[in-house]
Amino acid sequence: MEVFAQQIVNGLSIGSIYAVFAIGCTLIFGVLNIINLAQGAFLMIGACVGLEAARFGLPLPVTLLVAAFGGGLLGVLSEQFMFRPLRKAGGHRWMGLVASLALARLLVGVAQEIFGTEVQAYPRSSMSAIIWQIGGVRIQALQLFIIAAAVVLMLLFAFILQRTSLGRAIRTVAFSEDVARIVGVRVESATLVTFFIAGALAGAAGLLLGVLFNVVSPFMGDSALVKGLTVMILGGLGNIPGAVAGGFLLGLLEVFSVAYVSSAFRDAIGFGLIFLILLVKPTGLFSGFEERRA
Amino acid sequence: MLELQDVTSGYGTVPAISNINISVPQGACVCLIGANGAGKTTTLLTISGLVRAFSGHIKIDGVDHTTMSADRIVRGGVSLVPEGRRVIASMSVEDNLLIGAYVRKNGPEIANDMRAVYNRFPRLFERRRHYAGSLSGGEQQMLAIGRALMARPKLLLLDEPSMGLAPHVVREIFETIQEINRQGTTILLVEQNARKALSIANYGYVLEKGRIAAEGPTEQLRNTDTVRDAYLGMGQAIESTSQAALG
Repeated sequence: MEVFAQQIVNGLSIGSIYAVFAIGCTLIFGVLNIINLAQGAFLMIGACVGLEAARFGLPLPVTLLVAAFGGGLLGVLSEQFMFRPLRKAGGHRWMGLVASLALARLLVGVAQEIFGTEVQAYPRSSMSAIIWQIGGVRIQALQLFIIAAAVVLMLLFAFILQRTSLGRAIRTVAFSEDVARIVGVRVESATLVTFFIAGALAGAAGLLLGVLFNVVSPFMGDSALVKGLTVMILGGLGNIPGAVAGGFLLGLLEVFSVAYVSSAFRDAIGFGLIFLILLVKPTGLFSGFEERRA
Repeated sequence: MLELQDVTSGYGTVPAISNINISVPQGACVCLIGANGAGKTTTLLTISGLVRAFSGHIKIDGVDHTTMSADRIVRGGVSLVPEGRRVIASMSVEDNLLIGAYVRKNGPEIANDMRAVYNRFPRLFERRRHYAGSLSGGEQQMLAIGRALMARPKLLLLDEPSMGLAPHVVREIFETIQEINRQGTTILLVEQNARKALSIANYGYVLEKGRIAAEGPTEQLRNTDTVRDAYLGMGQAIESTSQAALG
């Protein structure tokens, strides 16, 4: 029972990060119908930039903002200088996919040059030292911070998307660019904002992932990307609440397979189960609620 | 208010309308009738800035709109109710109306106009929390009109508002259009249902194969042979007239 409760805590902290990362990927897909493979690299850059900020002595919540801003900026640049020119030139959607992969490799290369290939750690935060024992369950203050930050980010995201004029504009572009133009939305600006939000979520997820495992490396974006895409598909492509649920589910699956089976099989079991779920429900666990394109 | 001068427009390099001249005076209700593929929708999309004119000029209140972006045209007071309604299925009725007011900033005024739309269409008020996709065709048409009105347009462009609707719903929609016009909004109405369109408009244009084939005040237009035969269903079938028009 204690092991079980412990895994729930661990699973929720990692799952909340997956959820934050996956809603960014889902947003891009929902609005532009493309998959941005550079999101994983944005996550990694977020972690690296956040690490620099932490070394500079900034408190954790501020480094989170720095990481989010860094990721968001990259998102905007990728749209402005890569995705948009490709669309304008009439490139097929697959061209965007391949270009985003190239961008990811480029960013990994740049990060290797600047930050080195060595795995690095965050300066010890006071939060990792605070540990509560409740029954037999160890809860780090850091884990609570991560879950709280992830939940705040998701609520903020939901608020912007559902309750603001900007959010309605983004959802309208997702439905149809022509309809967005008809009501006076500047589609290009709305798209840039979309890329900023998705990039910022990736950057923030990168920082949270870095502090949770206390590991930052130029290659951390690769496995995160695979997980983000998995969660996105699991949740039903383009379905944001589905991505949130899928993120938590994957996090829990992973820690439970480590606790009860073997860490060697962590990914195999996690992804194996996802494969099974998709075999049973090919449209994703939470399909049916997604914002459909017209 | 709206002037189209020698407008040629279309898709890619193929013109769908050629050298069109249309004039819509302030406060008027003008209709544009014609068969499928005559270029009616292209005309409206060109005015809205969704399709670029190859040549010619589009002026609204004397200001050249020809190369203006779609969002600036909306901000300039021109709203389109598109063909097929295009309400945002995954958003609530209320959010669809709010996105209609996207170009406006004044919150209290927007709330007022929202009430006005709900008064005009009580059905929309009843269903304001429902997804727009769950509405009937007639309700979606009302929502599409309401969405356009939320931008407070000076000029309202309507593309086939009767399409796919039951006769009593069509009657209701046309009464609403007439009312909107009486309240001071200038209207350019595109319709295949020529009889209905001619009954509420003061002036009409007949579009055939991308060119204006006839125009005039509606009472006059209704009595011309081409219009009677081709569009009011009293003569030969549309196909044979088109053949005649070709020859």
